[in-house]
Amino acid sequence: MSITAETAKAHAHDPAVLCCRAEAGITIEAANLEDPAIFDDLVDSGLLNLDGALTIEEVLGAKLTKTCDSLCPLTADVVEGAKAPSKPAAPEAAEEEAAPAPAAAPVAAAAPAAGGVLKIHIGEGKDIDLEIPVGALGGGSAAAAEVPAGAAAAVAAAPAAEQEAKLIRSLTRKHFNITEVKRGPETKIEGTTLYIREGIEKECIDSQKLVYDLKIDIITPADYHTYSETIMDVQPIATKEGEDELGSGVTRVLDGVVMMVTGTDANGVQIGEFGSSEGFLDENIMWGRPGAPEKGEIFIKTQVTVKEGTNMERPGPLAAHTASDIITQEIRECLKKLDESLVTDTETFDQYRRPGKKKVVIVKEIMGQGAMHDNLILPVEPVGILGGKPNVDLGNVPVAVSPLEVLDGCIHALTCIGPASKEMSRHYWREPLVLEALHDEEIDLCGVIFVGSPQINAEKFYVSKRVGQICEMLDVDGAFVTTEGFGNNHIDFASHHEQIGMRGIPVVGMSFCAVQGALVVGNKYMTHMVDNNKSESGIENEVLACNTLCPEDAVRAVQMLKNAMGGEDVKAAEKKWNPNVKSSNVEAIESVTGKGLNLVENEQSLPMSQKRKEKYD
Amino acid sequence: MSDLKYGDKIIRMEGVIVEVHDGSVAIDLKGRLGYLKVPMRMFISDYPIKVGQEVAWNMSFVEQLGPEINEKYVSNLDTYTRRQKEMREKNQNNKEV
Amino acid sequence: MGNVQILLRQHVGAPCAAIVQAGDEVKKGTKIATPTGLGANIFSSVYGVVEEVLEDRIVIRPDEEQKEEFVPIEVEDENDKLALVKEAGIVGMGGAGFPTGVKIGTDLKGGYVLVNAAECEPGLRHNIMQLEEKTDITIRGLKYCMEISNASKGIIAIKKKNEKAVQILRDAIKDDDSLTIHLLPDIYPMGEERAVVRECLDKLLDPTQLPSAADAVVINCETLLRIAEAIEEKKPCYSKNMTVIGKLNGGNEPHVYMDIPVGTSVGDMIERAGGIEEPYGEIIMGGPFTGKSTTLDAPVTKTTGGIIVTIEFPDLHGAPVGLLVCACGGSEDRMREICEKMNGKVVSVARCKQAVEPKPGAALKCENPGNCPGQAQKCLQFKKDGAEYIIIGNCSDCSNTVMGSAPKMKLKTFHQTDHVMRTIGHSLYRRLTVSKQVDQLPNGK
Repeated sequence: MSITAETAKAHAHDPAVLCCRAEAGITIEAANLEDPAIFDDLVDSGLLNLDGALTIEEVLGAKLTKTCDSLCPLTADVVEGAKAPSKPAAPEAAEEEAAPAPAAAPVAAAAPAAGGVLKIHIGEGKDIDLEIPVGALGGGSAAAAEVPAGAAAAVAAAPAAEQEAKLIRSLTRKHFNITEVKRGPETKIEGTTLYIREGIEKECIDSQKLVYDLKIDIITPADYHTYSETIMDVQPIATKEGEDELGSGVTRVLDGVVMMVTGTDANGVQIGEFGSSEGFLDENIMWGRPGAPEKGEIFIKTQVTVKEGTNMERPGPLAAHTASDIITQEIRECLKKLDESLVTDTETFDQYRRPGKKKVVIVKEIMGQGAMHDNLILPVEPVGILGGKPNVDLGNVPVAVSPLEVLDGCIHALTCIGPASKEMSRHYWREPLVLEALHDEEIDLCGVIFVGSPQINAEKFYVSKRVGQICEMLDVDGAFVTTEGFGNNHIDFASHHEQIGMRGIPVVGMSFCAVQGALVVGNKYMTHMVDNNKSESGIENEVLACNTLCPEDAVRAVQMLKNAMGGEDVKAAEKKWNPNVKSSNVEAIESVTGKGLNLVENEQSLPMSQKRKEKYD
Repeated sequence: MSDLKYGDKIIRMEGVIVEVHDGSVAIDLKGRLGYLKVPMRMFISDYPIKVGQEVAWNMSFVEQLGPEINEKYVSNLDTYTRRQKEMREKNQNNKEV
Repeated sequence: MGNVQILLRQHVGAPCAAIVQAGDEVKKGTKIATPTGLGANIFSSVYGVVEEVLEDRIVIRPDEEQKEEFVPIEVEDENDKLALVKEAGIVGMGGAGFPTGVKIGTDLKGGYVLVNAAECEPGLRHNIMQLEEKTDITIRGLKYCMEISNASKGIIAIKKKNEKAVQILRDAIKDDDSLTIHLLPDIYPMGEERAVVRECLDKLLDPTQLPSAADAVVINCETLLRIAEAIEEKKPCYSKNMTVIGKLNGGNEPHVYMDIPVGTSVGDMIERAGGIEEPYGEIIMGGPFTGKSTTLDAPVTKTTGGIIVTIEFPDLHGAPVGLLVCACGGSEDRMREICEKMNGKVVSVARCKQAVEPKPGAALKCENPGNCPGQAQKCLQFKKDGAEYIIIGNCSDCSNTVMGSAPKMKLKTFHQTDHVMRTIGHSLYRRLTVSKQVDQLPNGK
């Protein structure tokens, strides 16, 4: 549609296209030009080819020499007296301007599928506004009020507001190193060797009616090129010391070894949503992601066979996890007894409240649609089974936990959603956003809220409204909302934004979006979005944990929330997913903070990436 | 994606729910056009999900991305089907015993 | 001749109140209803007996024999021209129906009376024929109008294609310095009030502004005729010129009727024109763009300009349809009606960016009639909403724009006037092939 002089100015460097037929001899005005906001859709629909088009600033005031029809890009041969183009918003100038403040936070968000014809019907979802263009979601901001780089200045400016940070509680992790895992007559740890009792499998099998078989494979780095059934979970092996409760006190953890749960049903059908990460381990694992194994670690891999047909029912995956946990529990018992002298490293996580700082909360949406879309919350042992409550049984309502409970393994992830976006149990143990926010002295992280994602829309809005109410009570200045994966959980993801945003609280959203996970809905509060995508083509690439939340995403999100709380606008996202948005935001953050951000690798670094390249890129 | 020739040919498809599992829903496409099984989170529902409910969605056609065969997937599939066969037989034998 | 039904509301404003009762004898020109607020007197158009006074109309059984004489209007001062116009119950005969006495009662301080002779709705012929055949009295009407409203200039806006009428007018005004002709291009809409102002005076008014903001009034050419009749003959306004056209026995040529008694039924008019050639699609009262569907027993009013019988509608077999509602064409209700008659299912409705409601709930007005604001985004919306067909009610320029994108998006396009255009052998509103610019006469003469 025709644009105003104001819009023309804002889009001075965008291509000039006639919105309607214009006759030779007219002087080109803003009213003759089409709104550049719809060009992407038009190009997608094959209606527009912008090759050779002059920019809007060039053609304004020039004379049209030929009668042209609507949607005709104005090229040099039909325009007389075009102005010389100015420098497109001189990047140097922009940077200088942004320099004193920390720049630009992140983002890239979701655009609907090509052609702009993605249509989602949401029945009676009353709080959902489907009209909002997805193009309005996110973008990088230019400057921020909160100034991490200039922290000294901020302190000087507001010394009165400075109040003492208050230590709430601490969590200590004692690390024990394991270099070898063997089978033996009893489960024990000798030095750096872990022995797993031979025959323990039978107890595992007998413990669960639905489990028909359980095999243990010890996978050393030399065995990484081994076929495996779909990976259901990756878990740290950790236990509480003495009477300490999860989330405080001392936790003992084994380094160099992780539990890995895999399985099929008795007919050989993969457990989990749809087998898609089965195959050779080294091709299917994105090493080093918070939820994934590190290269060099030994996997204690269980391959569980559950009763045929229960692979898609709720009891099946739970049984597989429970059976596997018998092994972990036996190791935990040994770990508890290990001599302090074997501790190789001790780290302490302190949870501070920081009065006077902007209070923020992290809302983590977890799957709760049923079956393997479930999570056990707050087991007694880190990532244990016992004591954990399935969030589906809790009705998916929000559950408040402390940041240290998250880092101490309060989530046992039964989820078996797309491997690239699933947050494994280990992910929570190393949750980057919680760590980043916990350690950031400029914000006051008050806690973490887990909220399940139910299946039915009405229930989604039910839990979402509770989230909003809690945020209101907490009186927070800002909130993060994260979700794993994509699909109908984006409906509640959007609703959380709305419920929190409508209370005047800035929200930064984090999700895998890119191409395949494009948000299905949006609303006016979804203005600050960080895309967790890492894959080259922006898709669920079947590589374990590839597209999950990483430190680089956490840094961007924290920066963005600070900007949002400081009242800075964030640029609207581009119509289509553009990975450059992220890289330019990362650069901006680096240049302001002076700290380098090492971006994680993606699937292209894995063996056989050539084949994957052929398939996807 | 740009490599799709007919990606923008969106057609409305209707189907009937024929299986409801805890984690997925299976749908027969009306008009003998196939069968689709989707995980719960890719299914948007306003009501409790029941067999026999009608559903609809927009989709396009499935196109090949090229003539090449990805050996990785072939090998995975071979392994997977072989194991399934073995396990089925074993499972069968177990029951007979 | 069947009963004459005279509606109590034939104008902008409140309905009139009947001042006759069942059984009263009336003559041509007998005042039978008076305004209750903004409005205009209503007169009997026939000799006869009031059969019924209903809430919205007065039904008169006409006598067999109808004389030409009429009851002249009475005012205190016979030289008070404005009073004569008011008493005669004249309203804008072009379709809007604004009481003329009120309109020309403003002091234009030497401004302009603009004559709307665009006859913009395709298929209608009676305005042009009036200019050709009743030239002098029309020009006199214009001069009275200028006198009453204290205007110094009169400009007749007429489409250049009406060469014969233009020539006759040129001859008629050549010796009067205060009168000129402004030629209009043959696109729709040129007869919209603010379009006339913009074309003649190069001033674009806001949809909420009246032409008086440009020191002008816009008067339909038939209204001039009624003004002259009221002033010269003391004749009340009870008759109407109109065109009957369409799928009629004898062909689709326009039948122009002058001085049809208000209250005559649509059916009577169609019979006079030869009768419907069955089967047909619908009957429209008014023009193809802004007219509404009507029935055979509906009466004509002071603002009825056309009666059109159309061919049958195409059958879309329930296909999804997007409606592009525009101030230049039918309202959303009218568009939905057409869609229903085409057996389409409305899945998306968009309104042209320029179509605005001057007041909440009021009929849409276009911010810049005949100059398109771009429609590609609307087409994208239709596509997104799953429409396969679209029905548009746009002006020539906007229709052209829609055709620039809709077909490429595989949206099959209908214009709301298609069935009329096919009936009368007029080209469909799609691509614009004529220029929006026309060369003017030297000095407007």
